[in-house]
Amino acid sequence: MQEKETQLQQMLTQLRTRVLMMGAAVGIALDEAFAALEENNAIRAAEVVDGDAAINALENEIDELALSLLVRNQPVARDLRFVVGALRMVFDLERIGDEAASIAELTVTLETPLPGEVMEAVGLLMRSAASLYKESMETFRTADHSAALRLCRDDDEITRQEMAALRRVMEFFCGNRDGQSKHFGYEGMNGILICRALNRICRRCANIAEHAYFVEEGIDIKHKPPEG
Amino acid sequence: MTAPDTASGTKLRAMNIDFFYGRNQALQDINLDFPENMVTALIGPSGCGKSTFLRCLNRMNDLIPGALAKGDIILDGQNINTPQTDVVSLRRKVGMVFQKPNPFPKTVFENVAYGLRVNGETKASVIGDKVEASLRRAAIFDEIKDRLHTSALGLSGGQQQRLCIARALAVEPEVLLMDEPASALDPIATQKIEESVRELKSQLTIIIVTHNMQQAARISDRTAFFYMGRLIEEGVTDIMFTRPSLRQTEEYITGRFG
Ligand SMILES: Nc1ncnc2c1ncn2[C@@H]1O[C@H](COP(=O)(O)OP(=O)(O)O)[C@@H](O)[C@H]1O
Ligand SMILES: [Mg+2]
Repeated sequence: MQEKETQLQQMLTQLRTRVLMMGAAVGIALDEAFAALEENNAIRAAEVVDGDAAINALENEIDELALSLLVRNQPVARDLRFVVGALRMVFDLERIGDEAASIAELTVTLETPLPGEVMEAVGLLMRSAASLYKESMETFRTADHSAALRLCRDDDEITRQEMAALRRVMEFFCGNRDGQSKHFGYEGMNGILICRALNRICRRCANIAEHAYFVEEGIDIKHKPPEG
Repeated sequence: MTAPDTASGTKLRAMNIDFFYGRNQALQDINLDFPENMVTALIGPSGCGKSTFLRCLNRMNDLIPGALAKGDIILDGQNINTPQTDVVSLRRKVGMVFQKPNPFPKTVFENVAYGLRVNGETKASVIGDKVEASLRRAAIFDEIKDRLHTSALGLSGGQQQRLCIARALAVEPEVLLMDEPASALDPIATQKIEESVRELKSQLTIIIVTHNMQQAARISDRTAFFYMGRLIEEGVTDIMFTRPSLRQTEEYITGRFG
C-alpha cells in the first residue's frame, strides 16, 4: 500500500463526496416538497422550485469531474465501475430533483389543499418514495450490494400504492360511476400528476440501487429478470 | 465482452513450470494456456518473473548458466521442454522481440534477410519478396522503402523496433513473444507497434509482456497477472480490467500496490 494518496484516489474521493452531496441536496428537496404538499404551504414549495438550479449545477460539476478523472487516470476495475456508476447516479438524481420540483410546482398551483382522504393515500405513496430514496442512497453510500439487489427487485408494493392513490383521486373528484359526477378541476388533475411524479421517483430510486449494485459487483441487473 | 474464452484451439500450453536461477526460484508452478490467434498480455510488478516465463516459452533461458526449467511446454501438442527438442527450429517457430530494439549493424534489408539466410534460403528473389512482405507486416515498409540499403542503426527507435518485428516475422514464426516492446518508444511509435500487433494476431499467437496497464487493456484478448513468481489470475482482458476476481489483481491494476 502506498503512503500518499495518488491523484486517482484523491479524485475518486472528491467524486464520491460530490455525489453524496448531490444525494443529500436531492433528499432535502424531496423532504421539503413532501412537507410543502402536506401542509399546502406555497412558500415552502416555491423554495424547492428555486433550489432545483443548485442541484442541476452539481450535476454539471460532477459530470466534469468524472470526465477529467477518466481522461487523467484511465481507471480500471472497481475505480472504473465507480466512475461509470457515479455518472449514472447523477443522471437519476437530477431527475429525482426535477420530480421534487414539479411536485412543488403543483403544490403552488393548488387553490385548496388536497382533501383528507386523497392526501392520506398520496401520503402513503409519498412516504414510500421518501424511504426508498433514503435506502437506495444508503446502498450506494455503504456499498451494500445485497440491499441494493433487494431494492431494485421490489416494486409491486409501489404499483399497488399508486393505484390506490389514483383510485382515491378519481373517486373524490369524479364521483362514483352511478352517482353524480363532481367537478373535476385542477385539484383532480394535480392529484393525478402528483401520483405519477411519486411513482417516477420510486422507479429512479430502483435505478440508484442498480447503480450501487453495478459498482460493487460489476454486473448490470437492468432489464434482467431475477434469477430463480 | 469482445474476446471469446477459447474459441480457437490452444496453441501453446505451459504446465507446472518451475524455474530456478541457481538456488533462486523465479517461477512457481505456472499453468497457462495460450489460445491460437489471440494476444495474451503478461502483467505484474517488476521482478515477478514475466520475462523469465516468456523466455521459457522458446527456451531462451537455456543460455543462462545455472538456470533450470521444470515442467512441460506444449506447442501444438508436443512438449518442447525436453533435451531432444531442436531449439533452433523451436526458436524459428516461436520468435521473440525484445524491450530495446537490437538491430544488427547491417543494412535494413540484411537485418530482415539474415534469418532467411540462416535457415538456408539462397534464392535472391525469394529473399527479396520475403523481406518486403515482412516489412509490410510490421507496418514499416512504406516508411523506409527508400532506405533498404542504408544502415539499420540510422533509423529512429520506433522504426528500429518495427524492423526487429519484421526480422522476427521473416522466418514465419507461429508464436511471437514480445518483452515490453514499446517501453522505450514515444506514443506515436507505440501506437504503430500496437496496430501491427492487432493486425498480426490473425496470423500468429502473440504473448506480450507490458508494464503499461492501458496497453494491456488496449491490445490483448487475455491477460495474465503474475506476482512474486506465481500466476495469480488470468482471463479475458475486458473482465480482468472491469471486475477481476481477486483482490491482489484489483490492487495491482488500480495502482494500489506494485
Ligand atoms: N539472468 C538472471 N540471473 C539471476 N536472476 C535473474 C536473472 N534474470 C532475472 N532474475 C531474477 O528473477 C526474478 C524475475 O525476473 P524477471 O523475469 O526479469 O522479472 P520481470 O520480467 O517480471 O521484471 C527477479 O528476482 C530477477 O532478479
Ligand atoms: Mg522483464
